Amino acid sequence: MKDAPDTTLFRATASIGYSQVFLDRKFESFSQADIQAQSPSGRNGDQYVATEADFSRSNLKVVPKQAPPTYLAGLTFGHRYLHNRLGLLVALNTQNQYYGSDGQFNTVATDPQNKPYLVVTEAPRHFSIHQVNSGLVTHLDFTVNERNKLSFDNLLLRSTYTQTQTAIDTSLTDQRRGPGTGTINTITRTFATQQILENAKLSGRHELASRLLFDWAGVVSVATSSTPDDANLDTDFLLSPTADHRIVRTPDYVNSITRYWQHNRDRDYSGLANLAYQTTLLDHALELKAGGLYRSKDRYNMLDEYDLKGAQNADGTKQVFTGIDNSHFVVYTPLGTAAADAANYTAFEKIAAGYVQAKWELGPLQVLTGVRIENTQQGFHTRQISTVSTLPTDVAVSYQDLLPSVNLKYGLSERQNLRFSYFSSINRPNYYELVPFNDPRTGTVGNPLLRRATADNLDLRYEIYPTAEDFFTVGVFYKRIVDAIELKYAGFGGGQLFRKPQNNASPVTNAGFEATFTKYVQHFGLSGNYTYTHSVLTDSKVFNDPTTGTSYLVAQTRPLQSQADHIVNLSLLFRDKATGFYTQLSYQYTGRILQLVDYNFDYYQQPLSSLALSVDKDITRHFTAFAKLNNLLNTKTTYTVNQSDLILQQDAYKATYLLGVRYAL
Amino acid sequence: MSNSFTRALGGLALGLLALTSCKKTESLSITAAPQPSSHPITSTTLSGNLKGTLLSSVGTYTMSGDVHVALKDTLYVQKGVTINVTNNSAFFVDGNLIVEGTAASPVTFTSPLNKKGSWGGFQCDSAQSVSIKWAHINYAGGPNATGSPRGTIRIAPKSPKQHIKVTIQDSWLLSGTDDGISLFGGGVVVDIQRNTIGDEGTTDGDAINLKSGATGVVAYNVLWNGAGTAIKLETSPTVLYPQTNVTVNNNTIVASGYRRGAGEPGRAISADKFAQGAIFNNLIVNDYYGLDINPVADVKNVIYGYNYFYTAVDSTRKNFYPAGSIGKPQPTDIISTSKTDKDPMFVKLSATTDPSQGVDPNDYHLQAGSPAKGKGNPTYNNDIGAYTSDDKGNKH
Repeated sequence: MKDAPDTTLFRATASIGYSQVFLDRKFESFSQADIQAQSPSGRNGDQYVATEADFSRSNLKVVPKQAPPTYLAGLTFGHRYLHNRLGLLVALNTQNQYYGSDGQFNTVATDPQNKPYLVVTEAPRHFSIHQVNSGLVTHLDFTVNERNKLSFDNLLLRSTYTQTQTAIDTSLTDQRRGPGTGTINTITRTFATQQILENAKLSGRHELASRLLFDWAGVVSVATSSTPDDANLDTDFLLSPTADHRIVRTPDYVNSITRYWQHNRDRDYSGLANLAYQTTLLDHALELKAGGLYRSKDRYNMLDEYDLKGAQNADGTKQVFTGIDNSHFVVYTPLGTAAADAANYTAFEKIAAGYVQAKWELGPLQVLTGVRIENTQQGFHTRQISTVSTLPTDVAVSYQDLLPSVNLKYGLSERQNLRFSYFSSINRPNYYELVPFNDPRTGTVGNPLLRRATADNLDLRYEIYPTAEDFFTVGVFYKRIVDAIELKYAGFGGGQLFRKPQNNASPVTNAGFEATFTKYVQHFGLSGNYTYTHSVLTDSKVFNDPTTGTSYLVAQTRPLQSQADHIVNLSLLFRDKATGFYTQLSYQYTGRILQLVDYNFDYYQQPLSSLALSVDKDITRHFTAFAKLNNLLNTKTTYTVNQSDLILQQDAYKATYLLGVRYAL
Repeated sequence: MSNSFTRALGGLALGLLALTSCKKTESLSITAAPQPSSHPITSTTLSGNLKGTLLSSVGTYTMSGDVHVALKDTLYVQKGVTINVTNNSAFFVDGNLIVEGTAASPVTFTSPLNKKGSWGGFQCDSAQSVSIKWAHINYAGGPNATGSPRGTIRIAPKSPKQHIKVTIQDSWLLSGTDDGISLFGGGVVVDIQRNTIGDEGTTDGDAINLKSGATGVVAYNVLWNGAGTAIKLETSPTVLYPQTNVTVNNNTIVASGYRRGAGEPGRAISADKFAQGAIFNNLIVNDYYGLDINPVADVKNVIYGYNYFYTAVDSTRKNFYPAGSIGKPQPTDIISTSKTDKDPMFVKLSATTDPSQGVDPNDYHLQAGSPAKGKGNPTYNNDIGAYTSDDKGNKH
């Protein structure tokens, strides 16, 4: 964090915006007035038997309304006190945004009567989201004396995220008699999540002797997230063909409601210290540095789920749905699931690390090399599902890594450099990837045997800085990742596919090159970067053979999940300092990305191209007006089956418009 | 650069190479909750890990907690035993379950609450074998502690390589909340014969649900007043092999499919999602939908015929072969055109269907002169329906 400057700093900004999604349709909102912060068992104890009266209804009534505008406001203030010894920098920010998407989420099923054996049933869905973020950032720096300095940083964030999702889901593929027929489920899901993050860091820098520098930091971070009553209502109706080729529709019937109460708290404590010593080696400057870090993280997660099924009518038939206030439900899980769901877990991660490094200036060549040693302990504890369950409840894993690195910088001339680096790194799994709970909403199961991924990385780069503002760099890179973690198809139990994060048996090779540049010609500027990555690994994939009727494994060569082949960023700038006018047109392209490795086929995200425009104009000495227009091409995020045109999922976020004003002292 | 430089750099490079080779060490410890080892049955209260025999001489047992039969263990239930299940308990079977009732002394599993969904049934997902004969299994289907519904008898191994032989004969499954018998998996071989499954499911639930490659035979069963589909054959929408392939013959299916509602009509027999089957000699009476061979079944390999369709509910007559289904009336079928035409002449059949009824008032034995006699496909049986003139039929 930068220190407060010598002169008083004051800046303010306010802007107002709107999303094209809500110019085309209404915002779907729901009432939060009756949402209960705790589940029935949270309010009344583990043994409380819940009835339908214990659950609120108004949060499942979707009310369409015209979306209010989005607004963003911020304030920054900086000043130095005590003869410039104490610096204070404060920033306050709030964002109140309305955004959403329209799209479809389809199910892919095999159609044995027709090649190529795939049929996709369309299911439209709409998201309406209201998000409020507020943040307070504080930075204090205090110069004790010319050799000692202390700093304090604090970040406090509060975020509320409210979402309504309405969808028509034909994923059951039941009762299908041809296009346009079948049992159709209407799904309404509403939830509001509140998150708070508080991060405080105290650090110091001390010159112990003329060549000995000591710095340290202590960080405390606490975050909580709570989603009370994530409610999902499911009703169904049937479209069926008649003998004279019309399609008739039954009324809606009440199926079920699921309600989740979830909250978690994460804590992260770290302490670190570094010691640097300036000396010479063979008449060239050498800086030796050593340091250590201890970090302790933990989380607890609580989940309580209640399933309500539509009550039968007195004559045994199924209830017709005429609105949630008129519907009656039977609580299928009257005690909730908090006592036995493996999603109730505590997880921990403790890291003890140390390093030594040397920086040696050999004229035009600068050598920076070092080695880090990291000791990690990770694990979790979950509740047992039943007294006779044999599933693991506790996992503890510990490992140690030695991670060397070397960085060479060679100055070819005053404005040109050549850089080379090698470093070794690790990638630890997330808490939830290890915990073996089965999430029916996403069809994923955790994997307690998941190992960390380790990588060797090599980079070579050439840079040139012809003027103060222009530059050009080009480089090649190579990574070899062992035990890379991907979310893959894991099995088929009880008629349902499930997926698990897994380590890849074969190492992954990512190789490529990247180029970046910025060039100004009078009022115009062009800036951009391009990265090409060739990512390859071999994996065995399960296929069905229709001729023999068996499943078999095939060695498949494919890219690593979430790796794009091409990434392009290009910006065209125009600036006129005299009139205080500045405009930028940005283009971004991301190539095809493998999203999920599944049974028989894989899902890919299609290439994305997006365009944004921003314009700034100084109005007076202190005020600047600006406008930002994003996603002008209405880029849709699309997932397809393999690399075909069959769309699994597509969401259109549409364009957003923002108009605002900035004040600077 | 001078020699000392190059030597220094060389040393540095070698040092790094040495370091990269000595890296990772990982130790992993996994703790399962401590499981007491299986103990033989010594008391009349059952819970925990058990193996051994439930004795006729003892007679009545109370199951107060979940019972787990571990891999390689066997739980054997002798004839005449009654087990009262409390606390929403269930059987979890990884080993062998053998229930040997007899016609004179059947075994009874029930709940003293006499209410649907009072206990958890038999969850045998990775059992070695399951054999249930002459047993009453009532009021099962309560949800487990994580909220998932539980069928009365469920077998669903994760891998098609796991072979499980399932024999369920001469038993009664009554008043469960969800599915009656769910058998999923390529290695599962089923023999379900001469059972009575009644009042299965509340607003959903299939009496016999076969998926993901199960094979075998379902015959001579009486299925009454189920909420969803009585006999369902499905492979899967996405995993086509191994295929479900079951012979469904001589079942009597009455008043099924109403409780799931018009949004998802229940059928007497359905073949769907790339399943194969042989469907013959079934007696389909008063059901919401009759025989449904869905266009996405493995239609070339579904053979059917000699099925008998009758209904006293006029509105369901058009759904014997529902519109949009690929199944068509066969020349060997017997299809009634009105209430008075081709009545199968059960000893007793109520005039209306009441999906809220819990106890079956009917008697499906065929009276002399019934049009169902002698008209069956002789490969399976000369008669149609579960009660036949020879001794192969249902004995209830």
